Amino acid sequence: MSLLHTEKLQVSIGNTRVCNDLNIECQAGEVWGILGRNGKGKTTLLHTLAGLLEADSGEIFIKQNNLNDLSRKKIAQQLGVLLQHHDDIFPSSVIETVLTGRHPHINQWQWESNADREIACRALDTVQLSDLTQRPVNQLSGGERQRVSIATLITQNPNIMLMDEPNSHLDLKYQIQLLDYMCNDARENNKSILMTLHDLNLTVRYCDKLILLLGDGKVLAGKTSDLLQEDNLQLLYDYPIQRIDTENYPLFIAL
Amino acid sequence: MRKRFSITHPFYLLILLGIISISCFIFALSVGSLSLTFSQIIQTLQGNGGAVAQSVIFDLRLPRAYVAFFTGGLLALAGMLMQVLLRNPLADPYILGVSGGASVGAMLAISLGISSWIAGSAFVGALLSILLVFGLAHGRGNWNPSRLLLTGVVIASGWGAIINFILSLSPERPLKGMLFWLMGDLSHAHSEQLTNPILPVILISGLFISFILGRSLNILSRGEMQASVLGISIKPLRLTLFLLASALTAVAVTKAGSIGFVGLIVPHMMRLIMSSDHRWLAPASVLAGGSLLLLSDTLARTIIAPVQLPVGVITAFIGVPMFLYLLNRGYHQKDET
Repeated sequence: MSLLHTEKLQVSIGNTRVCNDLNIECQAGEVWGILGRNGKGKTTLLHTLAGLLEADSGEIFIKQNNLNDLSRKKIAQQLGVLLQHHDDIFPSSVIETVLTGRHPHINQWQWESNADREIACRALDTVQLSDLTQRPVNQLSGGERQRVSIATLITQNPNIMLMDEPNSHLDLKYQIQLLDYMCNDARENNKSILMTLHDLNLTVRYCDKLILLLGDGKVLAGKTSDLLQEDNLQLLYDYPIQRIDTENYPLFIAL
Repeated sequence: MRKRFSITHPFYLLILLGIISISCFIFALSVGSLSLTFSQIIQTLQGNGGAVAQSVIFDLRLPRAYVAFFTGGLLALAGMLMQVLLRNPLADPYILGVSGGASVGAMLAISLGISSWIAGSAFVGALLSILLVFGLAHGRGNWNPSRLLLTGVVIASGWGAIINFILSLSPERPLKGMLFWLMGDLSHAHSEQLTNPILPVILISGLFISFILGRSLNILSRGEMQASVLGISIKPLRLTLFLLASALTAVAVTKAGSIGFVGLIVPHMMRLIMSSDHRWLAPASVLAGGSLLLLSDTLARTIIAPVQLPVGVITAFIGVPMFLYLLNRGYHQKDET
């Protein structure tokens, strides 16, 4: 079943074209990676797919419903986004922040129930922050703050998860543990993930399919095993990259 | 584990604030040139007091206390909404020029010597300012907090210039009245206020709307992008907040002039000691703002009686050290948990 698909999507930032006529179809259980150099529009594409930015032209569908026809609340019940920047101007604790993930699932008049709190606590358990539930978020380290954001997304529990550099600020252990958790969750529960990444070794490990943003609107989309070749990567990063095949996953090294 | 999320903490604080509010009322009714005991106040309120006590309470102290409390509540609530709208903890209800417009209206009425028009023309000035800021900031539909803030601040300084212009051209006699109005003045309150429902109606409906929107405000305070992701339609919420905060401010300014500090300090103080949940913050800010202004006004009229001080001076004298203390204490306490 297709959870998210685009028809002839055209996106740009300022005068830079990100993609022309992009047609992708994210099936339930699939993990997609979006790769590209700085400023080529990975985040812009992700935000456009979430309906946070307007596309130049083309359509985006969530389970056959046009994104433009859905209210923000309906979208939020289906689609969650891990943003790259968070804005912690007002004081708030870790648990309160994670609980905001339940917002799209609660009626305007209702308060968060104990069931909602349990979901939030389980998410905090998953990202191993159960000890810091009462800590103000502006006193966390970068990696801890990123885990709070991931826990918020887990609490929101959408079918489509768009993640902007989910591994940023995370140490090696959490990069693997949390991406393992998120991708297994997607595969087992028929969800879909689209994420921007800079690390090719994580990409090959987790992504089934890729969107390579080559710049000037040129895009390659398809299976990871087909796309992650030295010639494509040279084109993508404008830098020579060597692929070394090993028993588990191929390794990629910038020369 | 579960117990740490219990809602009892903000709930008890709210009850405490209720008790403080009542105590402030009793204090305000008892002190002054004629001091009354608690039992005399109760008797008078029941209609069994002496004629003098009757007149002191119903004609002087109660109307003034009532206006002070409701104005303080309006200002604190408006400040809380404005802070979320502008995503700026330093925003106060006057930041977008509502009080400037009201002040110009009031100054004109005072300089023409028509004191019965002061409230009406202040309200017209406030509405004019709201519409001006809204129209200019909304412009081509690109309506965001920084544009709103800049438009409001520039309009506010425009009003400031007009106020100074009027003050410098004004003859000696109405000048003191103008200055008092600018610093906030509750001495115009009289017994008719008690039967006029506008203050409680506006405050209670504002509180009700803020309470309903409470969870959305919690989400919006985490950034517009994140709020959008979590299912909030930003534009209608922002418009509601702008109109609600402006209306509350306009009513408060019309009743009592521009009283500083309450709208800035009280919501921020409540964030520090109570909760970041706006469903608690809204009623807490109303009670704390009302108490602070009521206490300040009582002190303003008694501290060096018979001279009356502008209440804005006292709110600053009480509010500033209290705020600084809580700011420091808040940080230390949160470090430990």
